[in-house]
Order: sequence, then C-alpha cells, then structure tokens
Amino acid sequence: MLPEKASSKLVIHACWTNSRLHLWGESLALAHALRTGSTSNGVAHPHPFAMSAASLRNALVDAGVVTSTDLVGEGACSIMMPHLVGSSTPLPSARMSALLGVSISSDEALQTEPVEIPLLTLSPQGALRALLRLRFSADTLDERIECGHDLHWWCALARMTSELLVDQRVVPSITQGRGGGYEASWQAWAHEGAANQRLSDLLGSAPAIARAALDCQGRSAWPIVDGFLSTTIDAVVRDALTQEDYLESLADRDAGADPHVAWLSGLLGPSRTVKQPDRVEVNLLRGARDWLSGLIEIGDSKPLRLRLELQEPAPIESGSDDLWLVSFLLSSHDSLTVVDANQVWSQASGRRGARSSARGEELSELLVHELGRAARVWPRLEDALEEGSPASIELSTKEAYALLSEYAPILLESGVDVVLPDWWGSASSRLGARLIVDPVASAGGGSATDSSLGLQALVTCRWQISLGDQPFTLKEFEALSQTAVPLVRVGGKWAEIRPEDLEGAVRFLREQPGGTMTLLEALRLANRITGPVGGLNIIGMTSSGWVADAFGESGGAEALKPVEQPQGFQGSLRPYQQVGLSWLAFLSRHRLGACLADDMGLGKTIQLIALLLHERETAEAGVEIGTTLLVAPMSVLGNWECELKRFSPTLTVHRQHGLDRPTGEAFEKAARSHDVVLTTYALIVRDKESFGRMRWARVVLDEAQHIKNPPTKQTASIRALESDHRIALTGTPVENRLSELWSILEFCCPGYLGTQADFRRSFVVPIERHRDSSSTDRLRSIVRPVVLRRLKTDPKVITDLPPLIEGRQHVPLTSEQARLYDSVVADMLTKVDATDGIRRRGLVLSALVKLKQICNHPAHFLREGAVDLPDAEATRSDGAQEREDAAEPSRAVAEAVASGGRLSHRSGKTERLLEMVGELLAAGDRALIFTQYRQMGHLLCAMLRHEHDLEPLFLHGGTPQAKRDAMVARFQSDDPAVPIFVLSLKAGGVGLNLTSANHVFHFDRWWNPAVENQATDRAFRIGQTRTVNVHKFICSGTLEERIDQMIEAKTELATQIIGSGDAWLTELSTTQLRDVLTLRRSALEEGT
Amino acid sequence: MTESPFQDNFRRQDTPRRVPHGVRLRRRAGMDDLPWPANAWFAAATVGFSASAREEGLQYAVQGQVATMTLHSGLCEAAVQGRAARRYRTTVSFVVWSREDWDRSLQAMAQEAVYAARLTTGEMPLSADRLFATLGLSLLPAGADDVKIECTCTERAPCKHAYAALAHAAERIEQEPLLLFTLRGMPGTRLLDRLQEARALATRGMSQAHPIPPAAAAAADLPPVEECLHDFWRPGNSLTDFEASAAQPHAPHALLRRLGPTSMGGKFPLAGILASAYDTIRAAALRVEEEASLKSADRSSPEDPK
Repeated sequence: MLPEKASSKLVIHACWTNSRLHLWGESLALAHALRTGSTSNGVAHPHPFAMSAASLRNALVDAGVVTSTDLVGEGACSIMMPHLVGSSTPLPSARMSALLGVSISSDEALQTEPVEIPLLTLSPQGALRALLRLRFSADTLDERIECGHDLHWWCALARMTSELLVDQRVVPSITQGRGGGYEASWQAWAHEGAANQRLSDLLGSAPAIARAALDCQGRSAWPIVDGFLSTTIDAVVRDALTQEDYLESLADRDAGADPHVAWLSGLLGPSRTVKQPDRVEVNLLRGARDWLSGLIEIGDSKPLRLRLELQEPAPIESGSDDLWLVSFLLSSHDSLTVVDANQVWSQASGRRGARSSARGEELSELLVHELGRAARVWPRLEDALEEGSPASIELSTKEAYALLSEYAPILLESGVDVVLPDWWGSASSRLGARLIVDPVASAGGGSATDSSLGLQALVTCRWQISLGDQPFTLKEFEALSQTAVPLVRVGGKWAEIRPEDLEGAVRFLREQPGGTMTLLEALRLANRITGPVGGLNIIGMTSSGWVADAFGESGGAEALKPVEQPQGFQGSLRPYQQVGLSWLAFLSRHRLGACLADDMGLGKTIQLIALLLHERETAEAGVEIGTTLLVAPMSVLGNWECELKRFSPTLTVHRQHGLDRPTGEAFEKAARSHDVVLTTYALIVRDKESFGRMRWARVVLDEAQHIKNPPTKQTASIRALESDHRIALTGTPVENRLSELWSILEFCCPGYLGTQADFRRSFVVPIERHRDSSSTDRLRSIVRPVVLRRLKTDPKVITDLPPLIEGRQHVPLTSEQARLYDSVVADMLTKVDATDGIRRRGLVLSALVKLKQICNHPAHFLREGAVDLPDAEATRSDGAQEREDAAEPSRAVAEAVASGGRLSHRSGKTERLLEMVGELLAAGDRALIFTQYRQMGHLLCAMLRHEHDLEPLFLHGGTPQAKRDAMVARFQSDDPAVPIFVLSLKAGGVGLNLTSANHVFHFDRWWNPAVENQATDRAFRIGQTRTVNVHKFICSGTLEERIDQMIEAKTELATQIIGSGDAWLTELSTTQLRDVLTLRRSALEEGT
Repeated sequence: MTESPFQDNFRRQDTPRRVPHGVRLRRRAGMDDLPWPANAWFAAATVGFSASAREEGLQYAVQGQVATMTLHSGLCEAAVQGRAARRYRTTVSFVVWSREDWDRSLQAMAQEAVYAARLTTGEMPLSADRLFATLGLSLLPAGADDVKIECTCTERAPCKHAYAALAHAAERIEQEPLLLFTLRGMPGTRLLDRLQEARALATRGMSQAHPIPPAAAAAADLPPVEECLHDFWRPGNSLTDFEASAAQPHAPHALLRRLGPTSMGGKFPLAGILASAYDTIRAAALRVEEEASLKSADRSSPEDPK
C-alpha cells in the first residue's frame, strides 16, 4: 500500500506539437507500482506511467499551475522516448528516475520507441501564463508537483517571450502560404544584441525531449522555438488589441486602395487574413519585407562603427546661448580602437602633411556611410553630411535634450555607439524628494527595556526637494519655472528637470507635511515600500543620530565603532568577525533585528556567542540581561552545545529537548535561570504554549532559511514568539533568493520590506525580468543595514582567513539509529563476558563495524536492498557487479520517497550533510566527501541524486584506472555539473590532486588523524587558491564522540588507538567497553 | 632616404610610386594555387588580358600598388598607384542578376538543404555551378559582355591595373566565397536571409516578410535525438548562460522609429497606430507577468497536515 501523499506526486513536462504547447506528467505512484511489479506489464505504447489528462488537469488546477481558462482541451501525441534495448517500457525521465531511485549506467544500450502520451492542451496565452507561474513559483510550488528538467527550458523560453513583449521587441509581418494567400502576424524581433545571443543560448540548450515529438523532429530547435514565440506573441498581441477595439480606427477606410489599411486589418483584430489591395501596384509581402529589412543593417558586422560623443557646453557665466558639441568618431566594438573624424579625414586626403593611405580612404567611406545610416534615425545629422569632411555638429540645448531623451536610445539600438555625459540618467540629475529623519530623544534615555525602541521608535520626518544630494531652494525653483527646455544648469551642473517635476514637487510638499511617525513607517516611505504613489521621485533619506549610524549611507558594519573581544571569550575573533560582533551589538543595542548571512565556514556561531558574552560583560550594574532563545535544526543542536561550551564556558545553557524536557511553569523557571535556551524548530510548534509563556530577550534562528514561504505552522509559531530582539543566521545567498529574503526579514524586522504582494510587485518581478540592475541595487541598499553577508572571497575576509579551517559537526542520532545502536551494544555486552580470545575479539570487532554503520545510516547497517557484496573495501569486486551495486542503494531512496519521506532523514549525519551540501552548492563551492565504506558511498550518491538533483562522481576500489583518471580530470575542470566528488578513503585518500574542491567532508572517522589528513590533502595542496573547509562528522553520544574526545585529549589510550586500526578496542575490559560504547542519551533526537 | 609626396608631383617615374599601407597580394609567385571557386572566377574574369598586362599586373599586386579595392554589388573598384602621381581608378563591372533571376535561383537552392548548410558556414557548394547553369545563369563571369573594364589610365584596357585589382579580388573571394553573390547583385548576408525564407516556403509551405534571426540561421545542428538518449531530459549548458544574462532594456517604440516610413505608398498613418499598439502590447504583457507572479504567491498554502 502506498501512502496518499506519495501517490499524488507527479513530474510535469511540456511538449510542443500540433502548433500548441501541451503539458503531460509522470505519476510516481504508477511508476512505482510498475517497478514493484504489482501491475501487469502490458503493451508498451500508451505510456505506462503517464497521468491521464483528466487527473493531470485536476492536479494542476488544484496546485494553481493552470486555471481552467488556460486549457483548451485534451489530446495525445507520440513522442520518441528512450527504452532499454528489448524493453517495452519507456525509461522514466531524469527527475522521475531520481525520485524512483533508478540510475541508468552510461554504458547501458538504449533505443527509441514511439510512446503515446496523454496531453493537456494549453491556449497560447494559457501556455505563457502557466510557464510564467511555474517560473515565479519554483520555490513555493506545491510539493506534490515536481518540474521535469525539460520544463526549465520551456520556462526560460516563456520568460524570453514575455520579455520581448514587455520590451516591445515584436514586429508586424506578413506570411504567404503555399496557396498564395496572405496572412498578417506579429513576430518576435530577436535579431540583434542580447536578444539574439539569448535566443542562441536557448536554441543551443534545447533538451532532446523537446525535439522528440513525432511532428517536430529535427536537428534544430528553431522550428519549435519559432512556433512557440510566434504563436504566443501573436495571440497575446491580438488579444490585447482586440480588447481595445483597435480595428475600429479602420472602420471607414478602404483596404482595397490602401496597403497600410489592408495590412492593419489583419493585425489589429482577431482575423489574420489580408487581401492584396486590388487597386495598387505594391506587393504587400515584398513591401513588408523591404520595410523590415531596414532593421537588419546594423553595425554589428563591421569592425568599426560610428560613435557620437556629446559634450556639454563649457561652463560660462552668461548661459544664454549654450552650445553642445557632438563629435564623430569610429570605434571598434570593444572600444579599444577609437579614431576621431578629423584623423579620418586627414588620413584620407593626405592633408596637413599626413600621408594619404588606403586605410584612410576606407575609413572615410565607412564614416560617411555610418553617418548616413545614423541620419535615418536622427535627421539632425543630415546637415553634417552636406559638408565635405564633417567632424562634429553643434546643438542648441533644446536639440541636445532631444538627442539625450529621444534619439540616443534608438541610435544605440541601431548599432551606433552614443557616449553621453555621466550625469544623464543618474539620480543626481533628477529632481526628487528626500526624507529628513531625526530620532526623537527618548524620555527614558534609551533604557534597554523601552519597548518603543528599534523600528517602533518615534522619529520626526519632513520632506525636502533635492537635486541629487543638493537641497533645492525656493529661489532656484522660481528661476527654473521660466525655462522652456527641461535641461538646466543648476549650480554649475546640468540636470534634467521637467515641468511636471516642478509641479509635482509643489504638490508633493503640500500633501506630505511629514511629522512624527515610527522609524518603520519612515523607512518604508524613504525606501519606497509604501507611500505616495506617482508624483515625485523619492531619492532616499538623510538622517541623524543613531538612525544615521544604522541606516545612513555612511553607516554599515564597517563604519561602526569596533567592539572589543569579550574577555570571557575562549579564543580569538578574526578581524571580520569582530566587525560582525560590533554590528550585532550595535543593532542589538537599538533593538533592530539582524540577519547575519556570512558564507558557510566564516563562523557565524562564534560571532553570536561573542555577542552573548559582550552584552553581559558591558551591561550596567543592576541591569540583568535576559535569556536568548536559540532555535536550530536538530542536526546542529549538538554543535551549538559544543561550541558554546568551548568558546564561553561561563554562559549557562539549557537544552530544551528530549522526552524528559520540562514544560509549562517548570520550563519557564529553567529558561529564566539560564543565559541560553537551545531548542529545535519542531519543538517550537509542539511546545508552543511553553515557549509563549515569557517574553524573550532575544530569539535567534539558526539556518533561518527554515522559515518557509508560503508560511507554515512552524513559521507562524516562530513569528508569534515575543522578544525584544531577533537575529537570523543563514549561510545561503539570501540576496539571490528573494522569497527567502522576504521571509527572513519578515522575522527579523517585521514590515520592513512591506507585504509579500508589494515585495513581489516592486522587486521580484522586475528583478526576474531583466535581472533589473536598478531594482537589484535598490533592494541591496535597502537591506544592507540589516543583512550582513561576507563571502569567503571578499578581499577583507580572505586576508583574515587561514588556508585551512577544520571543524567538527556533532550530529544527533535519529531514534531509529539509537534503537539499533542500543540493541547492538546490549547484545555484544551480554555475549562478550562468556567468550575470550579470538572469539571475543571477533565479537567486539564485528560490533564495532555495526556501530559505525549505524552511525552512518540505518540503511547502511541493515543492508537495505544491498546485494551480497563485501562491504568494506577488503575485496574488490569486478566491474560487472558495479551496475547492480549502484542501482540497489537507490531502491532504499525509492522506498523512502514512497513512504513520503527522504532517505537522508533517517540519519543525523546524512541530514546534516545534505543540508551543508545544499548550502555550499548555493555558494558555487565544490566538495569532496570521504567515507570508508563503499556501500555508504552508494547510499550517499543516491541521496545526493535524489535531493540535490545532481550526479555525483564516485570513486572507489572497484573503479578502473581509466575511469578514475577521467573522473579526476572532469572534477578538476570545474565542470559545474559535477560539484560533488564522493570517494572511498582507501581508494581516494592518497595520490589524487583535487584542488578544485574547497570543502572536504569526513563522513565517518578513521581513528588515525594522519590518514584523514592525507585525504584532506587531496584538496589542500599546491594549486589550491581558496580556503579549504574541513568538516568532520561525529555522532553525539556515541563511540565516535568518545574516541574523538580521547584523541583530542591525547590520552594514553589515544596513542594506542592511533595507528592500530580497531584492534585496541578488542583489548578493553568489559567495563571499559561499556564506558566507550554505551550511548549517552542526551544526544538523542527525541522520539516521534 | 624617405620619399616625400611633395616632391616631383608631376614627373612620371620609371618605377611605380610606393604606396604607404598598400595592400600586398599574399601570393608572391602567381595565382595558380587558388582554390575553387576563386580560381574559376579569376580565370573567367581575366580571359581578355594580354600576357604583359598579366605579368605587370601581378607584379603591381604583389608590390602593394593597389591602394584600395572594394567589392560592391556588381562592381570591383580599385585605386591603383602607377608611375604617375595620381592614382588610377579602375572599375570592373559584372552583369547583375534581375529580381526574377534571383527568385529562380533562390527557389532552386532552397530545394536542397546543402546550399543553406554550406553557405551559412561561408562555403560555396561545388554543385552551385551546375545548378545555376540549369537556370541559364552563371555565377562566374561568362564572356566579354559580362566583364566591363574601365580605368583612368591611358593604356588600352584591359590594363595591368585592372589585372592587379582582380588579383586582389580573387584573394578576397578565396576568403569569402559568398562575395560571388555580391558581384551578381546580392550581398551574402541578404542572400542567406532570402535563402532561409525560401527554405521555409519550400519546407513549410510558407514565405514570410520577416527575416530569420541570425541566431537561428547560425545555430549549429544539435545531435540527432537518437544520440542523446542518456541525456534526454536535461537542457544543455547554454541555458545557464541564458539565465545569467539579462535582456537589454528597450526604448519605447524603438523598432518603429528605426523602421521609419514604409515604401508601400499607404496613406493611412501606419506608424501612429502601431505606436499606440506597442504601448497596449507592453501594458498587456506586464499584466500577464504580474498576474502570473501574484497568483503563485497568493495561492493559499496547504497547511502541514500533520
């Protein structure tokens, strides 16, 4: 029986056939049933696990991917799909394979067979809407729905389509069918510059499946892309124009006499048909072709092109007859070669002593030709062409304004390089309103308990009209209202001031008197999150006092007064960590929420610990610092405890966790008497009542990306916690993950980025559309005061970083692991007393191996789905076994998915490992993962494949030499498709050069540091340019932790351990064994 | 001693004056090793030259006496420095094909994929000669009527200056065989566009006024689907480039303003109505984007059922 949840999981794909876009889906439940053999294996051709159109429709409508208006019907088509040779069942898609845990070896022979697939047919507009929805909601998609890889390509194509429409890169055209009749249509214009390059990227990356529908097969993706672009664009345009009754404007016109009317009659309404006008000579198709061909000739193909440089008038006092100068030059596309017109003319004519040259003549011809071309766009240039050797023209201010505002963008489009003064288009040359914010001195002198601190603090605000940084005076105002041209000189600088700006400014000041408001309200006004719509451009704020320190342009972490490292801190903070501490302390003092988003490995944990110590050491006498509640995923709780103990033994920590945890009043009492309460995200929901009993001094979220969007119960419970101060820690690149950024800041600084809908409108959509740099910059500057993110590659950080950073990851056992662990230890201890000698040794050794396997993963110990092969690397199997070998651990993944979970969640180690891998992938890092066990390596690969959708490299004892070399070379080539390399310690621990990695994971431990170091040295060696982070995994409370402690403490026993393999253990007495092996309960993940 | 252009302006010299930056023929020894089609073209274009014109012309070309040489529609124009102070203007003109000739040729070329494929990469298919012959046309100069030589020199044409110019032209054609089409009146890029259109008509039964984007014309063939079975579902690497790049913002009505008026002779103000249509299009597209982004965001999320 398959659980409900898993059975509804589906992978969706798109297909272009019959001139329409269609969606289809693979059903995990059907595929799983097929694999486990509970369905009879029927005839191949209907696709055995594609969803029926009806159930796909229900699932997609439910999930909000399509609406019923997007759909125009159901259908079916034949697609050529890969099959194992001789099999009648098509292979699952790559995404479905990962869900199923199937992996097809690259040596497997495959063939194509046509497969009949049920389809949902989308209208052209519906296709665009559905693909855009999928694109925008990739991170919030219903978890039942997975996008096939091919769908990402279709979503990109939809994005391009939408961009072309928004940017007006479409043209009217005419097509002629074989029958000779004309049809008008709207077509994409992606023929130049970035659009052409992007089209080329799309054509080159079309997945094979997109070309596999029977009616769209071919070696080029162009027919499909062209079909999608022209169908969609034509439909969207026609729809929009029909709605606004454009056809009406042709009502009394005679299409038989006027070719324009004839053409437009097929463009502006629902009908495409165009009649060749009978009473005119002109051929419509040819006329349209000639017209459109005017767009083709742009300078791209020439080595040099025209450059126009506009210079503003020299600063003179009178200002009455300003003359602007436009000089002509020829420049190469990279601007490395620039020749001005005077040089061209003198070279060409041999005047002034210069020799005339062939090149000179060529250049002069080019210059004249280019000027002629530019004159078509900007008629003002025609005067210049009448001269013999034109080198420049002079413009009045009015003409200069026309060039700047009107012609320059078109000239640029036409392939003419136009160089304008820097101030043009910059904020400093436009009139805007600036908010002047002053903090109101708080009556209580800013005592720490004042609840009106932080974003709720009161400030006085007033608006000031400014030109860039310069306040704009009334006198200047009056002087300007006289000028006719919006281009004016103010205080020696040129600026664009339109009449409507002036009117707007007057109105704005009348409507926005300012006054007292909360800091949050003021910031939202200044950041344009809320506030006056339309009217004047808002250019930011000028503030004073602590508001300026926190939010002013000169503020920021680097500018703060540095805070001393706390005396009680056991260790030393690196300079950038000290900056982080100062920043946290500053924001904390002012009760402003903070998100510390430093790269993984930069030490967010210790910066927070330092803050806790700092505030206690600097507290005024009599002021008590309250409790900090620290919420973290279970997998890092142990780590927090260790780090707190190690860096600040004086802080008291209560770990709110485990079955015997206090609740209600008992909990509150415990919480109030400790400095830090550590707990997990899961418990915040479960023990909501207990955590809600008190107001916390601070709530800290570690791995804050757990705050999901759309909000879950967990997110709601966390936002409901009352506290004076909030900090979020995350290592993911928040600024690139917009919905994550919003969710995290909504926790730290509620309301700061506005409602989610506002945020989408003002940031997500524009940034998605154009990677819009102005919106990106604006968002960055808005969040800069409250988000601190340093990268390992930052120059300031890099000098502080040692070349090698080693850290331990203390992870908990899951309850399943603990149960298995206990039973193995108990079993061994009961038997061990009754035996001695060789048998006793054997007993202990085999228990030891089992315990290590349990620490790794229950599936490793239970040999789930494992074929009978030697586990450790003692024996090498031949290559033939490999395929089976690789496929089987995948079955464990499949079973975990089928029961609605993830295989990695059964082990504390794999859960943490996959979290960390997710983080490092987001940062573009690369990693080596070492394990002693080949079976574990296979399991890790299966989990990485499934959860991170990547194919890791895996090198073990059975890998033939040639394949090893190929893997190493591929990894070293920085191929982004293989960021992760799993290696068995014995086969991969020596000799290889893998400096492409900057993370090394020791997934299980070898008690010999020398062996581990040797493995680490694969990445940390000559050729490595980055800091290498080493992560050693240790299961808390287990023998792994005990032995690690002994080695760390350099005990006498430790010297025996090192270098003896596991033999030393066999020599221990039963009491010693019990001490080393028995599980310490506090480290458990609590039972579920 | 350096030569000065101010000396002896009117005196004829015994040897031709040196041309600063003059283009030298790459071939020093003669034109015998030109590849097809440049060799066939050169042979056909120089049929009427005397042995001495050939010899001296070749020497001129090798020495760099040709100051400029351009190939336009139906024309080879050159400035050649001889012994006199003033350079000679040499023009060799070829018969330009009529619109009907081009229509027929393109139609014929469109029937076979090899033309589009070869020409796109800048190569001239070997079978081109035969194809045009069946249409009664010749891409190469055919007879004296086809090659008209004019030169400002006093020699009786065909002179050595023209020969030198044609030698240079042959080397250009060697580099860029599509120039043969230019000499018949249609530049190579235009020809490729027209050919793509003609192909579209031949294969899809459609002819279109808008040209095919260069990205589509230049796109290399993807491997056959049968060779992609192990990587059947994933988009290729250039999708990453697509995702990382941004569309260039576009000035309002930019295309319309670049296009200017049509030559159709219509009286209805086409540009005016299209300008407002463009604004309507932009507004509609923004609406679609916004709806798509909000719908997904505001969709009520299923609460965790546990």
